[in-house]
Order: sequence, then C-alpha cells, then structure tokens
Amino acid sequence: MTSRVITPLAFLLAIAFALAPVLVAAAPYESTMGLIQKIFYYHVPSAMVLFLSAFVCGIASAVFLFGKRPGADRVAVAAGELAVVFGLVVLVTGPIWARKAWGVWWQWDARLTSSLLLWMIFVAYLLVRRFGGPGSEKLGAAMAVFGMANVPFVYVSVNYWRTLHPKTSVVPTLAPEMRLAFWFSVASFLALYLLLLAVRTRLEHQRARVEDLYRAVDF
Amino acid sequence: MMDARTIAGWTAVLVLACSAGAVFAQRQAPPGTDARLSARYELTAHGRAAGVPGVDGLRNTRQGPGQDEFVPASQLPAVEQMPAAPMVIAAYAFVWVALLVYVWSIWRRVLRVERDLADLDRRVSAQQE
Amino acid sequence: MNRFFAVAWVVMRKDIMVEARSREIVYTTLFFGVSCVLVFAFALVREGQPMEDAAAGILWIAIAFAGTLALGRTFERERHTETLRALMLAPSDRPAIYVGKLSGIVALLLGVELVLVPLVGVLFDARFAASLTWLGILLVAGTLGFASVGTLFAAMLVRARSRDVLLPVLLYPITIPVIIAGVRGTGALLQATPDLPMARFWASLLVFFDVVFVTLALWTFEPLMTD
Repeated sequence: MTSRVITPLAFLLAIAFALAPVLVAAAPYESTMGLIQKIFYYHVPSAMVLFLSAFVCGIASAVFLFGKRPGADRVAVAAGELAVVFGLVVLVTGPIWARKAWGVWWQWDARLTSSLLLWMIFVAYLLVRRFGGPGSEKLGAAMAVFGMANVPFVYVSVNYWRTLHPKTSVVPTLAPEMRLAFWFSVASFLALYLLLLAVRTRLEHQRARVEDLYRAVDF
Repeated sequence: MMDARTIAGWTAVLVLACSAGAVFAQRQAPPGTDARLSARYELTAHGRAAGVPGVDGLRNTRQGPGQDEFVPASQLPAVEQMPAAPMVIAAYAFVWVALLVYVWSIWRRVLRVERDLADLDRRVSAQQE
Repeated sequence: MNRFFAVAWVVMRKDIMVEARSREIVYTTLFFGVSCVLVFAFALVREGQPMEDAAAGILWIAIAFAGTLALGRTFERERHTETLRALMLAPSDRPAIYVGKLSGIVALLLGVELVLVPLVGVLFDARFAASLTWLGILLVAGTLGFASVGTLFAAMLVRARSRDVLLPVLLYPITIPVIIAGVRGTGALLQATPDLPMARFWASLLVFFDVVFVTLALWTFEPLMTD
C-alpha cells in the first residue's frame, strides 16, 4: 500500500540523482582548485544530511526518553543508521578532495575531526542497539541525547586545537551556475534522506508488529 | 522547595549565558589584550593554513583569504598536477555504490519483515478459526 | 533539598566505606594507572629523553583508562550483590542516588590522580609544581566531567549484555572534549613559561561541560533507571 507512494518517489529520486552529475559537469570550474572542487557538490549536502540526521536522532531519542513514546524510538533508530551512512559518504569524499587540494589525505582540522567524532558517536549508538541486549533502546537514546549535546563541545574544543577547512561562507560566494548545481544536489540529498527515513521507520514499525504477533500466536 | 534538577537546569542556563557573554567579549576585545587567543581567533576567522602551526609544510593551493588569484595549471607545483578526474569519478562512484548498497539492504530487510508478517497473519487467522 | 543531599551523602559514604574496607578498586585502578604510564614511558622515551609535550597526554590517558576501569568495577560490584536494585527500590530521589555515586567515583579518581601526577612529573620531567592551583582546577573539572557521563552510562549498562565492552565504546566518543581540554590545558601549564590564559580557557570549557552534562545526567537518570 505504502509502496505505491514510495516506488514513484524512488523513481523520481533516481532521476534527480542521475541528473545531478550532469549539472555538476556543466557547472564552471573553480578557478584555483579546478576539477577536484566538483566533489563539493556531493560532499557538502551529505555533511548537511549527517548533521540533520544527528539532530533528528537526538531529538527523537529525547522524546522517547521523556515522553515514553515507542514511535519516537523507531524514528531515532532510522535516523541513527542514516547518520552513519551519510557520515561514511562525507568521510570518504572529504579525504579524496583533501588529497588533491591540501596534498594530504587527512588533517586534524576542526570540521574533519568533529564530523569524525559525530560519526563515531552514531556508530557507537548502532553498536549499543545491536549488541546491548534487552533495554538497549534506552541506552541508545541516552547515547544519542548526550551525543547531540556534545556537538558544540567537540566543535569548540577541536576548533581551538586546529582549523584548516574552507569556511561555510564559501557557499554564498558561488557562481550562479555552481549555485544551481549545488542547491539541486542539496535538494536531492534532502529528499533522499527523508524518503529513506520514512522507509526505515516503517520497517521498524513492521518489526514491532511482527514481535507483537509472535507474542499473540501460541505455537 | 525546589527540585535539584530545576536548580541544576537554571545553573546550566546561567553558565551558558555567562560563557556566551565571555565569548562575545573575547571577540570584541582589541587585539593584544590576550595575544594568544586573539591570534587563534584570527586564524579561525581566515580558515586558511597560511600560519597554522604544524601545517606550514602543507601544500595549500589557496593562499590568503580571497579566491581571486588565478594560478595557471601549468605553473602549479608538480603535486598539484595530479590528475583530478579519476579522484572525482572515484568519489562520485563511491557515493552511488554506498547509497545503492544501503537501499538494497533496506529492501532486503523490508522483504523479510513483510514475509514474516504475512506468515504470522496466516497463523493468527488459522488459530482463530 | 536537605533530604536530597542527605541521600547523596549516605550513598557516597556507603561507597567509600565499602571501598575503605576492601580497597579492591583503589589498588587495582592505581596499579592499572601506573602500568599505563609505564607502557607510555616505554613507547615515548627515546634515548633517555621523554618526547616533548608527552606528559600532559600521558597523564590524561592514564586517568581516562583508569577511570573506565573504576567505573566498570564499581557498578559490577553493585550488580553482583544486586544492591543497585535495592538502591533503586529505596523511597528516595533517583537523582540523589546519581549524585552520591558520582561523588564516590570522583573522590576515588582524585585519590588515584594524587599518585599519578607526581609519577608522571618524575618520569617525564614535567614541572607540575609550578602552577598547582590551575592544575588542580583542570584535574577536578576534568574528572568531574568524565565521571558525570561515565557514572550514568555505567549505571545504565549494569543490565546490558557485553557491558564491559560497551562502556568504553559509549564513553570515549562523548568525553573527547574533556580529554582535549585536559591535555591542552595541562600542556599549556607545562610550557617553559606557563600559558595561563590558555589554561583558563580550557578550564572554563571543562566547567561548562561539567555543568551541562551533570544537568543532563540528572534529568535522564530517572527515566533511564526506571523499567
């Protein structure tokens, strides 16, 4: 029933994702970095989705913890998993860009390090959910809430430690054609994220239903 | 009588406000009042590698805050002439493969849960008869 | 309010008394901390000369590792004798129990640090004595921050499977700011001329961290420990 909505949406998204590289290829070359700058069109939107997903997971976990709503926990699981997936994209595309632009794969820079740590918090979240045994939803929820509260601390501490990454102010200075490709990518990533979040949350709902039915049936 | 958590909460708000004030004051302070902190702030503000300790040896294509200096590709040092195309293609391919693998894994999990659900539904209705 | 602190005090006194009689956690944690420092000494001292700036890092790594051990062991003891459940059944504020456990662990860790600091100072030629006040502030604030998150997670993990592995997995990513602030702050104090503004910045970050995370833990302890 829901698949009737999801299938066309997924189809549209596939087209959007196929179109994004075309727009990216059509966008002009950045004057100092050249071709390698084009990684930016996938790297920055995934980073946005990573942070968005982290906050969705943290807030949903807080709602679950204080409001005792099992539905919120399902959203939190979905968001936690998606944060790990998009975080992986950020952490792989970033070093590829850095290798060409900075000459090294990795730098202990504020943004790199804080993204890595945020990603690790959500990997830990998934590990707890997977291996924590009974009661691990609450453990995971606490991890997500604490992880979200930790983001500013990680950022400030690492920022005073080192800073190298191009600033966020790069985005408004983009040439118009670049801007089109960039915001198109952002929109596709965001839509993809919302779609995956919905599908993944629904999967969690169905799992809960299976559990309930197992209890209802006596074998 | 106030709850300990309420008191702690208000303390947190107070400390937040104080530190926001402190950070603001730090930024407003004329350079030289706190040489080291303001020097770090300058670095952060420019976000460039130019003087960051420990990364002096880094070959950075962007010098200074502007993006306007044009350096012809042929005049760049050798390391800059590393072919960029394979790396861009690798990055895009990775994103595509990663997302497809994830979608496939969700797909499989959904199929399995739906199979279980159908199976259980059948059992429940059989039991009720 | 008085009752709150009375409960916290009783819980802390209980923990310290149990510990004073068995001395199990103090001795094992201390020994583990010292072994950590020695392992780092073997890795980082070359040709009789310690690596520059190594002392601050080693001190804080030893504190973090020993702290994880102490946290795990404290709650393992509660689990073994089923006393945590008894504590939770007591008609008292849950947050008060948290504060009591937290104070016990902070006291224990500060005791361990009293041995570790001179040891690192001697082995790595670090002049801790030059600015003892700021070092004290950094140590107390850092230990409190580390233990505030650690106590909550260790208490939650009592009922979880594979708790020994999960405690560091959960604790280290969250307490990274504490480690960075502690190491950088202590490092600033150990320079030829102690860099007090820098130490002050990191100490205030630590205090800020403490306030936010103790508050968060007080709020989450109740829903987390209720079935």
